[in-house]
Amino acid sequence: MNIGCKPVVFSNSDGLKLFGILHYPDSQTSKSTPIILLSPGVKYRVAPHRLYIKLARHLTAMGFIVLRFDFSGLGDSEGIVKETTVADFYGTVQMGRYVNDTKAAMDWMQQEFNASRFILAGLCGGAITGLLAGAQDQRVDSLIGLGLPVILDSQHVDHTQYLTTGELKQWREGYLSKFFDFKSWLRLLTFKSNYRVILKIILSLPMGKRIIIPQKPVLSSGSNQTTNFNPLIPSAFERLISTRNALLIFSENDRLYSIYQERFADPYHAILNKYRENYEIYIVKQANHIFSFPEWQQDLFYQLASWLDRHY
Amino acid sequence: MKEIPFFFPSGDCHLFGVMHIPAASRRNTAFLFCTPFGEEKLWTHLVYVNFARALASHGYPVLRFDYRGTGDSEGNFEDATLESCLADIRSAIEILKDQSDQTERLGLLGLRMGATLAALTAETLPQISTLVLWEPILNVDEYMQDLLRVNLTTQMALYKEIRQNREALIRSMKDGLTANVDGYEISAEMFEQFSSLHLPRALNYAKANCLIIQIASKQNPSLKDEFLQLGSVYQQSQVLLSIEEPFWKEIKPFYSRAERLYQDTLNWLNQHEHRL
Repeated sequence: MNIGCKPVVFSNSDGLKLFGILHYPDSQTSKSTPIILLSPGVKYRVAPHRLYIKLARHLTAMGFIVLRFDFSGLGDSEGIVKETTVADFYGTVQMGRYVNDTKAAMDWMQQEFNASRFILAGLCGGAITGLLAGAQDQRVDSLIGLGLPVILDSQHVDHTQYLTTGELKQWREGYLSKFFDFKSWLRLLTFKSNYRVILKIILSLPMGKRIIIPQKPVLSSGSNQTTNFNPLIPSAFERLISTRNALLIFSENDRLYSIYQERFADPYHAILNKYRENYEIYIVKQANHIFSFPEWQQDLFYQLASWLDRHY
Repeated sequence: MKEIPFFFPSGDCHLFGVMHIPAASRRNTAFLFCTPFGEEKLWTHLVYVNFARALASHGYPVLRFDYRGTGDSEGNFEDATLESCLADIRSAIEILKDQSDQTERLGLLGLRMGATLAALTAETLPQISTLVLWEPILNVDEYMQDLLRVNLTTQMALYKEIRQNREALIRSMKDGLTANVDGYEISAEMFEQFSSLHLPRALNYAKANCLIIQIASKQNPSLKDEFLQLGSVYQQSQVLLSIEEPFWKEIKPFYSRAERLYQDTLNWLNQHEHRL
């Protein structure tokens, strides 16, 4: 029975079994860079109106191996989501809750197909997960982000909960660069600093580690300090697009597009322009967030195929 | 307890299913879960998965599956009809019998349209001894009209006007086009077949032992007459009320489990298992 796909199970770093469906092309010769479709959130590996099934069919027809899988606590995967509201749950996704699950998917694909580079693609929560994973893991060759959110849905996000070693290093570098800054000391002594992060940094420091004061990260500051702008976006975006490619597709009628423009693209335009050749943005006319009408899906698939053709 | 994902044939399609096999103490009844429609299926996926795991932990074998054109199954939604959904349920029942070694006593569980399809299936298959209907859709014509209203809402959001009203949408379906509801394409065949459906009018046999649960989000609501009427059609039935949020649509709480619904269902099953 050859139906072009099969169920797969692999483990994440916490030992939880993650469930996925692997799609493979008809032809003997497949492209060497597999695509991993990252779940948008509650609507698991299928995505709204089966968008990921339709995408997987198009991508396998182009010769790509495609994996769609469920993050822990979603779909058929093991794990528990403890957040009681959808907004709080999305907030944790936007802070990198599923970066490690994404790395586990790449580990598994690497073993199965001997692939060393991956294309991460996803809608909404899948797009931000792909961006954050790409910033941390050089195996991510490119990102295809649909409706990338640059704000945090939750008002109760613990920004430190999903910090990885790399991110802690980045925060540490930021604090060290402010060591001789009077205002920073004033913030610390007037209880305005983020003590949770400072504690995590101290706890993460290996004994006897040599401290090097680094240069300030290029995109570490902006004009969004007091808004619900996701503070991880600038540095993650820079890390990804400074060396790799990204295709961002937005829907014209999706508020996430205007939010992207106002909160990120405009304030950071001078710096983003440095890497302009590494990323493309396409707007699907009239479309809504989930690309529900078939003409929007056709436009989306066409743009995606054309971008992939040029890069792979 | 084991979970085995697999594809199985149903007519010209392969359907996706997950078999939940209990570790020990098998019960007499093996269950097939029938999912609701469209986005309701996606919103309720975790509630289904977790209840399948709960039933399996109580010793019941469970098969969850996707109709053609839904979930991970082959096919396109626009090619599905009422007939194809019922045929897929019958195919899944054969697989359940095979995988659970249970041919005598089978149960069907469904939510919303899944419950309606389960009730219809039980009419034609005497081996369905147990039916669990969570908030079944009784007046399917009204439900299909509500789906068309979703299309109108999308039009208003996009164009700030209704360019095609419900009558126009139905006409265009009859002309061979489809009506888009949240990204799902509904054909004339599907629309007509489902719209003609009404419970309990479609029920003549009604021999299964049936639990009907009305789901209400407010405290102290009364049971709806329509559910009581449906219950009265069955030779053995109980109509209960569970306080839960309407987890089949977008709501603020993150709903991975429906504990009161689970408990009400398990209590009823435990009582009736003794009689089986």
